[in-house]
Amino acid sequence: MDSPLFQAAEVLDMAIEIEHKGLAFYRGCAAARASEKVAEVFEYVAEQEQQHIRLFSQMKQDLARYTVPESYAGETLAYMRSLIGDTAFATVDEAACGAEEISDGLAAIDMAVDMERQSIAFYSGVREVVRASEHGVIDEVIAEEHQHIRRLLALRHDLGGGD
Amino acid sequence: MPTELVMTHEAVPGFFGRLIDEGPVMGPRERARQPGFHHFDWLDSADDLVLEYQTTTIPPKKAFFPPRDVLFEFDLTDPPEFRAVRDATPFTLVGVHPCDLEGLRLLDDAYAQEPAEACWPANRARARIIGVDCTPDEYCFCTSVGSCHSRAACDLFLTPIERGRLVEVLTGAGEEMLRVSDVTEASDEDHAQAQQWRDDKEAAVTAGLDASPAEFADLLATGDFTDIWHEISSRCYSCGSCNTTCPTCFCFDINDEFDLGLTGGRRVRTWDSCQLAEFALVAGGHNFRRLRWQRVKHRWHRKFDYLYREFGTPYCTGCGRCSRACTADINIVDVSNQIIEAARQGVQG
Amino acid sequence: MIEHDNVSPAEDITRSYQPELARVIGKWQMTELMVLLRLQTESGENLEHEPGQFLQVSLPGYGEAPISFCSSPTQTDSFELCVQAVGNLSEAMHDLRPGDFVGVRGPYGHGFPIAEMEGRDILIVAGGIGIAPLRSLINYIADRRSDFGRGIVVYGARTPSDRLFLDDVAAWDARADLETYFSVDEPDDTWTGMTGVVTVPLRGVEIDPDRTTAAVVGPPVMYRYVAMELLAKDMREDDILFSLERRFKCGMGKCGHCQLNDLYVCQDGPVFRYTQLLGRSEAIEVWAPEEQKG
Repeated sequence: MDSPLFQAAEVLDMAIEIEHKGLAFYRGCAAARASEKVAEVFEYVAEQEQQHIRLFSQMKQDLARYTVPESYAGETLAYMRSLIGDTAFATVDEAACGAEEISDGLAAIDMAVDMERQSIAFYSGVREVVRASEHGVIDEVIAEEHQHIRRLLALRHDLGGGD
Repeated sequence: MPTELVMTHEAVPGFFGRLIDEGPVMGPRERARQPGFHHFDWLDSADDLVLEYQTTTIPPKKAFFPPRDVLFEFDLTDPPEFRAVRDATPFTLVGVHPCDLEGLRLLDDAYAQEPAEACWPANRARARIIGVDCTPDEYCFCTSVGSCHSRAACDLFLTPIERGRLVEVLTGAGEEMLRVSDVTEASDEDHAQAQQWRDDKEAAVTAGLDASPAEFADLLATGDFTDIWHEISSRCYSCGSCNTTCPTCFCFDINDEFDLGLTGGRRVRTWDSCQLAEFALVAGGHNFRRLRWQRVKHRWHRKFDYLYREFGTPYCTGCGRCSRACTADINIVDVSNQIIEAARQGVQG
Repeated sequence: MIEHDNVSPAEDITRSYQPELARVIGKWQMTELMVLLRLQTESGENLEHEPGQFLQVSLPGYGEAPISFCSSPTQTDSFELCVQAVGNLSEAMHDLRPGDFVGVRGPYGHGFPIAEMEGRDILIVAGGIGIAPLRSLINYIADRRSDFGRGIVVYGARTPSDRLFLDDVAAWDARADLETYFSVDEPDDTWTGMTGVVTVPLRGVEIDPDRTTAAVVGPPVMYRYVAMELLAKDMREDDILFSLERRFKCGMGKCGHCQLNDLYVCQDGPVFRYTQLLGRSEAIEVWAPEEQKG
């Protein structure tokens, strides 16, 4: 029986997409914020997201030839998508616009923390689809996203937004 | 200690000739089209029997677990009818090397585990078994897995001595096979010669594992040798010869066959191989050992880790058949030692 | 040496491989690919299965395949099997009519651990045709309702027309003592329920992780995502039960086909605790490509 095939590399496309949205949002936030302190944090996380895009692109090349059967076409991506909550921006442009529209620094941080949490959930799924030898890299990415959350929350605290 | 007697060179043909007269006897004989190579087959006369032979390609497990075995027959009536068709004829299996005796014992244990499989013990109950001692070659490593001097599963065991064979009588069935005319008392000199044979045999085993079975099981279980599996599997053709020739492999497939008239048929069990790509395939195209290195790894774990833990013995008798048969020259001793060394050095994949 | 005074070989073989006859007494086409068969053993004996166990079912000439029971053990006069047409045997089984015979042997394997599930909240997560074995458990719980805490059924199918057991589903939905959550991944105009794979409705289910046992059956792809959702609800790995599908040839832990690392799915499973599967590399399909050679 022929089963539809899922291209494992598509998962990394989604990961890259998430990072691009994050990057656009953080860049937008960094540009829109007056405070140097706020801009610095957003610049820092944006820089790291760019790094992640490079890592995922590299892994994608390794997965390019690989497929797994699924019970219907699109099944795996449907599960992967269900890991990303509703608050994610649909497109990179929306993320960039979103950053400009949020005038309140605290709201921007909350939005950023939400995005980071979603990406962590998603990457724990990505971890399952790459080679065992690449688990370490994914774990590092996840650890960095956790660290972003801590820095964003610290920033929020400094800005007087409480915890 | 079992009774030990002597069967002189002169008495040997008469003894086996009589067994053949009494009923079917399977033993090592020269292949018709391959002089110098031997296989287990039914013997027509004592002249066919070759007691000093190099390890056969296919182990004698086939006497009890044939490569193709009819489980039952059916008629496509309404309702369908199922008919048992087991052959219950007693037979004698002779000329079995110690490693292969151990192989039979391992399959006794594996098939007896609850829920017990029924064909194997039913066939085992049909047979008397006579073991013989052997001369190792460069592939043999029985001393590493404790099968070198196995007397498992057999009723009589023969060791070459100057004036014939020293006969160890291991069971009542073994005793019943012997007539007074077949054997004489063994002298101290006979015992000494048999012991010398065993010592020489042990000394002649040159290949060996660099760890005990217990240690090897632990190393396999705790280490990650992905790089080694990748390297080995890059040479492997997934042909399954290692399984087909293994005295302890017991996996099988079951399929139905129709008669030509389509009014009936049979359910047939055949040997199967975990090295074949489709072995772990399930519905929907999912395959839990899709990659060759996963299958190669599985074979090592099953032999030296999983079944070792289950039964307390590695499911390897050191017969070396898989190494001899491998079309890619993958040697079970070399690979095992590569893993042992990597584990000890902490160099893991 | 095995002594000769054993059970007679023929009798023994019969016990191992030779099926007994069961007669088809009812047949329902549920979807294009799925048919439900109600059967009775010719001997009249109850097979006394547990929810989650499977049966080796055969048609002489076509071979034999494992199929999970989809009826509850509380239904004692007959049993039901759900057959997906995916090969020669199952397609031939789709052609069966009431009065026809099949061969059956079993039941085999370890089903859901009912005794330890009693008194607890039961969260059932079914994806696609995974609803078939779970129907056995759901109907068991429905029939023994006071033996269990909450009964929660989360069922996701691909499309509305892929949904199975619509009568049962309606009955579960109508019961005040069962909580039901349904979704489809690809809705049509008729669908009024949730949209998304089964993890979407599952996310909204609130549970007490200390009191809950989850029973999960679905396509291979589903398990890891459901596990993530359940762990996010603070469930213990020991309380998550997965039923796995493999190709069983013998059902007795001998043929080797269903081996999952050191376990035999047909004997040690098919129902496993998530704890048993963690650290066993062959529980999930490895997606990674072959390493580059040379």
